[in-house]
Amino acid sequence: MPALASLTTLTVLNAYNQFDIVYVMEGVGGDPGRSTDMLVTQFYRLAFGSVGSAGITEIGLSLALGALLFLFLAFISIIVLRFFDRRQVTV
Amino acid sequence: VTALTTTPATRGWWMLRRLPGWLALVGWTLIVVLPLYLLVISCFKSTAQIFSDPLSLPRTWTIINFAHAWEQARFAQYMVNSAMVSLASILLTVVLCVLAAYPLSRFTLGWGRWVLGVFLLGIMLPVRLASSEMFTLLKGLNLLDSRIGLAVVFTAIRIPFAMLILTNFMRAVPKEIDEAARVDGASELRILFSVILPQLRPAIGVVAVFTGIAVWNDLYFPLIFIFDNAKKTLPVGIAGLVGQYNTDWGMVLAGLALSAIPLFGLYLVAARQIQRAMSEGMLR
Repeated sequence: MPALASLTTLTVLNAYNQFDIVYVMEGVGGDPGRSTDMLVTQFYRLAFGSVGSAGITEIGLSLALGALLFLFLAFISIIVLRFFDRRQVTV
Repeated sequence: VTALTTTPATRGWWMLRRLPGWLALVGWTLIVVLPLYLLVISCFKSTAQIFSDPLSLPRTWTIINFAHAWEQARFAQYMVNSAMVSLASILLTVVLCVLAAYPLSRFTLGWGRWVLGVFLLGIMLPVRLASSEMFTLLKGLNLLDSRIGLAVVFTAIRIPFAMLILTNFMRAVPKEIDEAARVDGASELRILFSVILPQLRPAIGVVAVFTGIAVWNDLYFPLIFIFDNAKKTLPVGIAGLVGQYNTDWGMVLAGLALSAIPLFGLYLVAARQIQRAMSEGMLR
């Protein structure tokens, strides 16, 4: 059961943070019109992609998004771990 | 074992009960094999034929796609870059983690558990969210747009996983071995490299292969940290081949197939070690 719990957590986190496949499939502009962006690709676009408003990168906004995403993922992983086991989980 | 001694009827029932498992395995195999089949088949077709009949064998086998990938797409350059970055990351990761895992797993240190905890925290935290800080850091270190910088980043990212594997395996090595070596007057480094390391070959195989696969396939970090076309790694190079208006899919697929070959090679080299590690139990 501990193995199952950590595996589930890691899989959830990895899937949520999936970047490569999404990025390749949606093309450079996040077609159509950035509507297929996930949070991580959105983060990338804001920080490095220079497809933000007027073509400038918005580092501050992307950092805020990253911080929120981190909190959210920590919350999710805590929930998943609690779902499986209360004490014995050591990843 | 019990099935052999029972009557044919119960034996049939027993096999029937295992049927869903077999079906799931067959389904899984299809899911894995079908894309591979498509990839290999499509390499030898023209782009028009890839779209007209994707599933059939090519009517005329052609290797023009490979030639295009190699010549037009600067494939050789990308391959060399990927190989350099991957090898450097594997070496750095293995050496650093072996050195770090030795004290953390062989001795009982008061702060050892905390240090290990910090290492393992790296598995849980999504690294990509720190990429803008990493960007600033690399810029400050003058390592932006360089393959060395990329290798350093990948090493940092792969260390938590390598530490997890190496500390667990190192703990399983009996303490008496290094006590005997210490009595004989061996230095700590000597104990680590000539006594403990030979026992850890499965673990090092696992770490090397997993690091290699992750680094070789990664698209995100080269995309951010590399601007110069001559320094791009394979995934970025191949992703760049997909154009907005038309794409030579035959060339792209040939490039993908070529880029998978070194990983197969790496796996074949380390396959025996990995299987041993799996059967010994990956996590302790």
